[in-house]
Amino acid sequence: MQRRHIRFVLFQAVLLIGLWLILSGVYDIFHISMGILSVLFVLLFNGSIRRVVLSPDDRRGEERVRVGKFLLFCAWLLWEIIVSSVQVAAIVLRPKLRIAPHLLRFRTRLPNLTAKIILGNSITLTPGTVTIEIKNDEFFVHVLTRATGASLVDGTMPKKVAKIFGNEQPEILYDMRHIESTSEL
Amino acid sequence: MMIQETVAVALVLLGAIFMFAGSVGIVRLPDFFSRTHAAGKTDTLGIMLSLAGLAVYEGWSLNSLKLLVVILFVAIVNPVSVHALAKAAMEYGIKPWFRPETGETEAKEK
Repeated sequence: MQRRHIRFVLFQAVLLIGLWLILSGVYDIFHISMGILSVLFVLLFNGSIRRVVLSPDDRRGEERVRVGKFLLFCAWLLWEIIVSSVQVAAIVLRPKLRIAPHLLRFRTRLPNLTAKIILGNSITLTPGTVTIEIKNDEFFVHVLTRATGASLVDGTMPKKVAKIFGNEQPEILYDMRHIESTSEL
Repeated sequence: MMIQETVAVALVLLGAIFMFAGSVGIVRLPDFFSRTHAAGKTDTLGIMLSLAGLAVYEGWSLNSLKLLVVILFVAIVNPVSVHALAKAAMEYGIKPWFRPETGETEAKEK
């Protein structure tokens, strides 16, 4: 626990100092020491944020992330963003508006909060699907057309997210419900 | 040098096309929730492509590294803001628009 905490803080420090070096572009002792001071200030300031527990399965800084899998996932996500952006742009620019908006409500077996945040953000990042709410393990998603929601409904995306955390379950999603009219809401 | 500029211009133009599609979508789509798709998300790719084009134009320099940081920032911040908008709308009680089951087959355009 304690070692993980130190690693977490060190990781943050490296990221922050990297950001400073990229953004400042002036490399003399005065400016770099200013950067180190700022990083220390931010870490001090952020120390208490880490203690805020967001939900019962909040394991920030404790989960094991597979870096290789994560990078693969990012590449796949980028491709997915491009494909579905083209789809949405085509739908919007076509003279006939072929949309079938509906809502999806489903539960997931994701291992922790970070995985859920990654899944929620990935859903929103791919055009045509927006995460409206995440409550415990229940997701609530607005989908623009059948095609844009496909990789979510067949469970490809959640499976890839679970793999980042070394979770290889075949069925991540369950209780999938399509809501297609106001009365079902 | 010529190729670099061509690629840069192509990327920026492609980004502009996606942003244009997003703007058209805001006007054409029927309700709040489908508009957030157009407003927040085709823009993600549009901004990323435009900035990538600018980074290519700059070549290997600190400025293009800064642009890459901005791309990363957009990729993280955009979904969060879109989600915040959608959630706020849901809690405010805005009902999403659904295609009528019988009768009309075409989406009403507003």
